[in-house]
Amino acid sequence: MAQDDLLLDVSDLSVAFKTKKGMAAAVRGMSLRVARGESVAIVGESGSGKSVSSLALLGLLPKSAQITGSAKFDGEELVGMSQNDLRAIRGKRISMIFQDPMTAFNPVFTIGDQIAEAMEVHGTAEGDKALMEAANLLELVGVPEPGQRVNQYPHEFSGGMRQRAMIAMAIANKPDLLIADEPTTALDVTIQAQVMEVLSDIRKESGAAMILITHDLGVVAGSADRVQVMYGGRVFERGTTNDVFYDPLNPYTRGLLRSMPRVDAIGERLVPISGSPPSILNMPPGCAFGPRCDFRTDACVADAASLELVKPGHESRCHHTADLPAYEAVETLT
Amino acid sequence: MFIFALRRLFAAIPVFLVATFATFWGTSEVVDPTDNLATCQNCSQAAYDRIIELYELDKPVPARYASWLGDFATGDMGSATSQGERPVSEIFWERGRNTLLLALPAFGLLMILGTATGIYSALRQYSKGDYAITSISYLGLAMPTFFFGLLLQVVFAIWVPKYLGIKPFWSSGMHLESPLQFVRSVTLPVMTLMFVLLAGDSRFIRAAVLDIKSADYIRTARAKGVSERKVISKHLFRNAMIPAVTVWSLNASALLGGSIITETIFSWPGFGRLVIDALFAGDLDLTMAIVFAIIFLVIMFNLLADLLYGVLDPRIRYD
Repeated sequence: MAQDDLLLDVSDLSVAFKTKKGMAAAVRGMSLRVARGESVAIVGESGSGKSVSSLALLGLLPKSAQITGSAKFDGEELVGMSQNDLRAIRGKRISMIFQDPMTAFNPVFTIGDQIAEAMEVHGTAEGDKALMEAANLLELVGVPEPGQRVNQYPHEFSGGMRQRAMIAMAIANKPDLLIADEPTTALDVTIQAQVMEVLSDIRKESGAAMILITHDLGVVAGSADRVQVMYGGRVFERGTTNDVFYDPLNPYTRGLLRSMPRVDAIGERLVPISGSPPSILNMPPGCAFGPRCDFRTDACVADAASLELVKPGHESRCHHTADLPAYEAVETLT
Repeated sequence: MFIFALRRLFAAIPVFLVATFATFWGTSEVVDPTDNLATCQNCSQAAYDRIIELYELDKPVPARYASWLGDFATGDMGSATSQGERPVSEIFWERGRNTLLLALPAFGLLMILGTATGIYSALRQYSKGDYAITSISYLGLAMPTFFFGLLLQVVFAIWVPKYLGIKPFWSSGMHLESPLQFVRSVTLPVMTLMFVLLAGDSRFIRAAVLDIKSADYIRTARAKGVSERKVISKHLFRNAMIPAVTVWSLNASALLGGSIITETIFSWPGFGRLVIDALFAGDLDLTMAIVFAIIFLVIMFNLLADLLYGVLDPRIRYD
């Protein structure tokens, strides 16, 4: 990608939390590049650091978090930026869509008020005009009868409608970057598809870039240009969505894909990854995935591999990239 | 909302009847108005008969209760035998006003200080300020009212005059000659009344705000770019008001019913002392009037709190 197309350039980002049991390293040297208008998915299990890294960008982590590294947004360094300056970016140039629409709206204010507030805070629109604009936004994301809905409270909305309202709120100031943190996890499967469609329509129209944080590979397949897979606070694999899905180079990514339902394998058992993700307080030595990996050797315990470019635009973090068996591409349920 | 209020008031009638009957029955069983005559040498049989007739002691308790209820419903609260046959209504309003003089300042301060310390403690959790407020709260919860009242008296009526040569507050009695005297006489009883309640309020609101401050919608507000001040004064505060109303309604009925201990320690002629005096003197009409007042206050403040929930929390609507 050309340098002036680069919207977000995160390099060597680390986040650690001070706890009673010592420092907990949630994100360890993460990098991420997002071009204007591009959609990048961050995939990983719970505790892989995917949410924490995005909250760190916006300075939304509690004070106990120690953030190091660099995150340049449109040339401006976000790490270490004052809360005042960050506030001008939040909701205006970078917006977040949160996981659980049930709890992400304030129960005592109307949906319209809360969308209007996003505009008023940044001086985009005021008072009645902001409320009118809120109704327009609700219409845009497919909420029926927006004129009435705008005066309703969150509890009067269904889950799917609330997530649409959340998207409306996120795009109120026409941001350059949307961060969607598990936007469909709390929704029914049928509603998930609708919400993802709304997101993709909105992006087509506004040209906003998106970071899609999810553990659901099915959601990724339909909506991301590039994917980066995270595990134990590190990037394990990164490439175009096609490359990662059809030619995964990392044992962890392969494990993830094998554990997904497939249309061409109905009746066969799914293969789970054995074991569970490591605690961020007690990372295994060397490769974080080592204890769960079929290809583990002494080298994996001795030290962690670095993220290396294996093919053009396709990186992987593994000592055994060269000697992994060929991967049989499969159709996944999307 | 009006229909809801009306329905709640009607629902309060059985509560009122059961509570007043229970009190009437209990008091009648314990108190015998003829007791005083047993030791009286000069009293005649006629005096005895007069008391029997006055209190309808020849009739069963339910009949006596019905007779009291009939009088009460027509606005006749009877007369207080222990207070020289003064009409109960007269004593009732006089003592009620005195209790209000303590209860209102205490309630106002409670609302402000309870909310302020609770919110401060929660926002600065585990800071020195939070530890200080928490420690004082536990002290307030652990210390009996009578002890705290006496402590204030010792400090402000004995030690301060002795060592500093001034007496800033009255430690006993009600002084209403001037606003200054009023303030001097209510300060110590108000502090005593407030201390225990404030400790509870502060802890309760702290816990509520701790929940709210880590709520998802607070993070959403921050992610929108809302300033920290507005996140607290708008998003957090409006939600904190809901649990605050709960404690305030409990405080209000507790304070307005009068405090037996505080009023006794500070010789304050309010409701609390009246009810004890009336009970000890076996003054049935007076006891019943005060019991009615307390039931009425509890029911009204519960209703008021429920109506306020409806205003503050859109998830609660009464149609």
